[in-house]
Amino acid sequence: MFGLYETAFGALTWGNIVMFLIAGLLIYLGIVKKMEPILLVPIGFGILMVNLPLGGMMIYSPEGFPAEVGSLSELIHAIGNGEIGLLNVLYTYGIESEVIPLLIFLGVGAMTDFRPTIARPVSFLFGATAQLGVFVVFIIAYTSGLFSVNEAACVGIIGGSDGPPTVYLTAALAPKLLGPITLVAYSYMALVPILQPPIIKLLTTKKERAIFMKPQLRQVSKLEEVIFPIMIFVVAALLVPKSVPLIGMFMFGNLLRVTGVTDRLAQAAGGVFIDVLTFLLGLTVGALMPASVFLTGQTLAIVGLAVVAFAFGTAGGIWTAQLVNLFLKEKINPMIGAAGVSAIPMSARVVQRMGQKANPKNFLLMHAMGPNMAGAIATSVVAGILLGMLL
Amino acid sequence: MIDWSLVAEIAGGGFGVTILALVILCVVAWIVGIIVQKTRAKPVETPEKEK
Repeated sequence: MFGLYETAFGALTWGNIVMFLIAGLLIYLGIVKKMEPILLVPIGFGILMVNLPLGGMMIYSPEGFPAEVGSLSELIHAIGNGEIGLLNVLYTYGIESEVIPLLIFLGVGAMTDFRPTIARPVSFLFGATAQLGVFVVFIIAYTSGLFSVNEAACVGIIGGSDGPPTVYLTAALAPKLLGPITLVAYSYMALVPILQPPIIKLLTTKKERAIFMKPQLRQVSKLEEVIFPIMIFVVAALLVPKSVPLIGMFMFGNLLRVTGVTDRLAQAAGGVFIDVLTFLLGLTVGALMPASVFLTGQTLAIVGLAVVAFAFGTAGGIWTAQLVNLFLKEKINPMIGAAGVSAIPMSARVVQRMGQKANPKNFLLMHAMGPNMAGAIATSVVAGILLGMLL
Repeated sequence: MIDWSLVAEIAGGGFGVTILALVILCVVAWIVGIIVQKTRAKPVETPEKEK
């Protein structure tokens, strides 16, 4: 434009401008509406970084995949020559290698309190059946012809409403869809308070929503708390070997929390450690959304299918709770089944709020936290099962 | 071309295995909970120190 000097204006496309608007919306939702800010703000900024032409933060191959990063010795040379960008390095060593999602899950484990699940093991059933959305959406996505089998499985796992397993599975099976799937998964988790109430109302009667549950669960001993993560890890690893990385990290993080002698490690894992990993994940996921990759029919389909996944996941949990009630003398409030979709702790809060609205004496939060935690374990198991079947 | 047997295997089989795995985890957690509660030692009263 000015002799040897070149600005980026000439390289801007309409797609880039649409992506700027999407990035602006995400940053606005994160900062102003406080919707998952620790993820949406980095994702939004990552989108800006990759859609500003000639910036070179993330280089793509003509097929739409991030450029391959060679060995460590070639790295500096490749960055200097503009063959790869900084975010290519983060993507390859952090996400493609699965290191970041797994370490984030360790941090999540260190922040998770499993006592409600230990006190009421039937929560596992709600967590399991709330995975219905994953498989229903898998069928719809695959039979629509828009997605391959592997891609359809990754679209389905959004219904598990758990970030790290979603990223882990998608990075392994459909890396090209990692950007839109991660964005939709985290955005919809933030939208749980809007998405779930109408589905819960549709599937339960006012009388069911008003069912009173004693606010206190039984006391859980320290020994049970320590045995739980070890036991869950060993049994899950034997049943679904491919879930070992996810469940292993999740349960190890939790073990650090409950031993009583590794508090410093647990605080580190659930503090700055997870924060740093989360913004690296957000920034890199944002950089996986150049206009040419993101603005496709597949992305629109993912946005729509994710709603279906949440709806069927919520329904699966509620239907199971209603079924269990047929055999119980002291009925449970079927809404707690809806918390099996994970989305910790949003869906449990939704149940608590709706329960109190239906019956002001009700305090369902702790009852709903059990299925909530079980849902996180169930999603990791599902990711392992799908990996075992498709990888 | 949609491979319906693959769909059935992944959706039906996958969901079935998920339910089975979580039921097993549920039963194991329940049994361990019962065992721990029953075998937990009763709090031992500390003997008063002799003056």
